[in-house]
Amino acid sequence: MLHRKINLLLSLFSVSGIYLLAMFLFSGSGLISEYAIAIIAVCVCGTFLLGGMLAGVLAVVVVGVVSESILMLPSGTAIIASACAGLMMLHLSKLQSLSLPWKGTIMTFSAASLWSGLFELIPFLQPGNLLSGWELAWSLLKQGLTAASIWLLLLIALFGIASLFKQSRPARIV
Amino acid sequence: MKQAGVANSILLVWLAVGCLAVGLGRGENLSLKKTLRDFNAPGLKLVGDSHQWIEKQWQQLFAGRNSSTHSEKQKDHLLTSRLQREVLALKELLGLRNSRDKSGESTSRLFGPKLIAARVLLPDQQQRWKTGTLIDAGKSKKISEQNWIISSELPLIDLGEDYGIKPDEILLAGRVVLGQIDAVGRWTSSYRAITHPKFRSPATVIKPRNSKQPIQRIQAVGSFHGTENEFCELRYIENTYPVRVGDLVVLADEQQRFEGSLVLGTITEARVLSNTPYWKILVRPVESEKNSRDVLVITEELNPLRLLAN
Repeated sequence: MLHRKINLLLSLFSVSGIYLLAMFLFSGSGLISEYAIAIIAVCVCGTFLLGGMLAGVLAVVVVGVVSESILMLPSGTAIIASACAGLMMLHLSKLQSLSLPWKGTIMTFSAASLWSGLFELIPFLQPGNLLSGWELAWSLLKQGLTAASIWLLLLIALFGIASLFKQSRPARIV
Repeated sequence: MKQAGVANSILLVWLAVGCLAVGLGRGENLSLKKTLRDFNAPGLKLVGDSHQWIEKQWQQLFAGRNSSTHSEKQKDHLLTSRLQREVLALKELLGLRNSRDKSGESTSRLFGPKLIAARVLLPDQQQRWKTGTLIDAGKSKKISEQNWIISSELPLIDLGEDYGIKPDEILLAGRVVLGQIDAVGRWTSSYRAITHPKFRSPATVIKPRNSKQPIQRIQAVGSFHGTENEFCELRYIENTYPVRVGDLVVLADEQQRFEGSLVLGTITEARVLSNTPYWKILVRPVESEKNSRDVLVITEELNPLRLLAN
């Protein structure tokens, strides 16, 4: 019971942290804002994996609300992008065959790519504004790689490089 | 498993909300954004305040170390600022050309902006001009400058009624607004610099965010005020519009009289205040051409080609 309460408190704490971080990144300036999606994808992914699915979903909704209100995108774009990225993370988090670090890497990479892809693609669907395919692909790859690198670096910094090679697959009953 | 189902349902509902928001009309969209922005205002205020506090501490910490490279940094800053404005102008021209390509055959406009080159008078020239030592042909023949120019304490340029200059016309250096004509004499005119407390102009904010994206312009028009200090103020921009440090403040040209944006300055501080619905925005005027004597006055003229055609 106590464990659950602590978990709930930690989840709420991390969600409010993500709320403030999203505000800072989306309304801030400079290099860090360029990688806002990657940084936020890492945080949301961490909440999904460590705080549970409901906490992760709450974080996704919070980021959606903040980005919808701050970013100058067509109405609904930020909500749709956050919902799609959230659904992807939710389904990837159910993967049983991978250890937590690698599952997180895949989740952050794909969520950041999808998220930024929807951000960049939807407003530019108007004729004349369409980005070239290469530019878009490079932008998505950059966000995805940044997110995955941040995730791996964080893990290594917090738990050491050995954490990447630990087997955390569920034991199979033969 | 149950938790996964609930999470999935919430996200699907969230997706549906997004789709509904896309389908809303323009007015409802705007009110939705405003509601969300109001909801987030306390958080934004907190983040903005803490951001500024951190920045101040950071600057204090490194103030001593960086003094030697200050001038180099200033040079870099000026160069960046100039390049930023050039990119802005090119983007706008590209956008204009694209829109013209789509809208059909290009035609020449009946009215167009006309730039008249002028030169700011040096202090000693102004002094001699005002005391009448330059024109001593005699007041009896009414060959003298107007009184309001003689008595004015504002700086002067070397154009007046003879070139069809009118009060309140904009004074430019490149794409940068330097000031506004105050009074027009026969051969000279006085102007209010951008930092003069009586300088007023409608202004809006544009966001040169990403090199790949087109320029984003907020829909609100505020009032740009000189304050006699280093910084000017941009007032009456509702805090429901996204504004941030580093955005450019440009002359609001709702009637699209000028091709391209005329830059007033860069936002250095934007704060959400608690008892007002407007941002408190401080703007640093563009510095690069401050010392240049060669300026341009922007006026409007009839297109001579169109007149000749008839």
